[in-house]
Amino acid sequence: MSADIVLELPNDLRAIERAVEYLLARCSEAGFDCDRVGLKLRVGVTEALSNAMLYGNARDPRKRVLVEATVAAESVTVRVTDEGHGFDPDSLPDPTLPGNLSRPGGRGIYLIRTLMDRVEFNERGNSITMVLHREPSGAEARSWPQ
Amino acid sequence: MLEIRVEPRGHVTVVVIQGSVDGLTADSLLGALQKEVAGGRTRLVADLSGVEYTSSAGLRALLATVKDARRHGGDLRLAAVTVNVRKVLDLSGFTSILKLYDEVDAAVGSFGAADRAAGEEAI
Repeated sequence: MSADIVLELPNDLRAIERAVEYLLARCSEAGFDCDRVGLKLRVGVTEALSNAMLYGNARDPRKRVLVEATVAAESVTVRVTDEGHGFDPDSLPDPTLPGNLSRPGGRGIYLIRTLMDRVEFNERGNSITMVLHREPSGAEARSWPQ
Repeated sequence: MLEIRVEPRGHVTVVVIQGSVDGLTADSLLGALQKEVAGGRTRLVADLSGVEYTSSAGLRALLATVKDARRHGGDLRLAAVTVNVRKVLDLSGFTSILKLYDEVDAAVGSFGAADRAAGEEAI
């Protein structure tokens, strides 16, 4: 991935908000719809960074999280990579199924997959790439709150 | 940054929350809500009018409190939920297990005599 934004974050939850605000500002400068991108990108990147710091890097303050992003004409792409061993994203249950609703975990990745237009993991499972298109799909345009 | 203020309203306790609920602040929210339940104040209303965003960590705090409150015969009900928070609640399926109200007064009033007697069904 050839990124035009590269951030290397300490493994500290306090670093998340500033990184997210920076990415949102870059998207705003590029003319993205702030209301739509504001929620989707905020949720997606915040969840990915939280997962990387808490689970991937196991709260280890010596480790780092790499954020690579590209803001293009039609989409924004953000990759978050931690130093952990990775995980199998397909092993997570659907938290919205009736039997899983009251379970405490598993919602972060679900939210990312639901809100972003494309989500991919590397084979090791320690790097997630999220793509959000500038324009909503037809179905989303009809359902998204204005 | 998260600000939490507790306001007793008769037999109901309103917890006014302002800021963003994320991995950094969710523990503070959970601690404040659990303190109320532990103190016997199990009929809770969360005023979310000042919350612009919640992550899955915030959802976990709300879920844990709902379960805890209902186990003790009460409930946690949400009021004045902002558009962005509502969207996350909808996507997560939380709107099927939590009661939402447009206004804080309506949420407080929803705790009627039947609730005082029976409490919510545990989840």
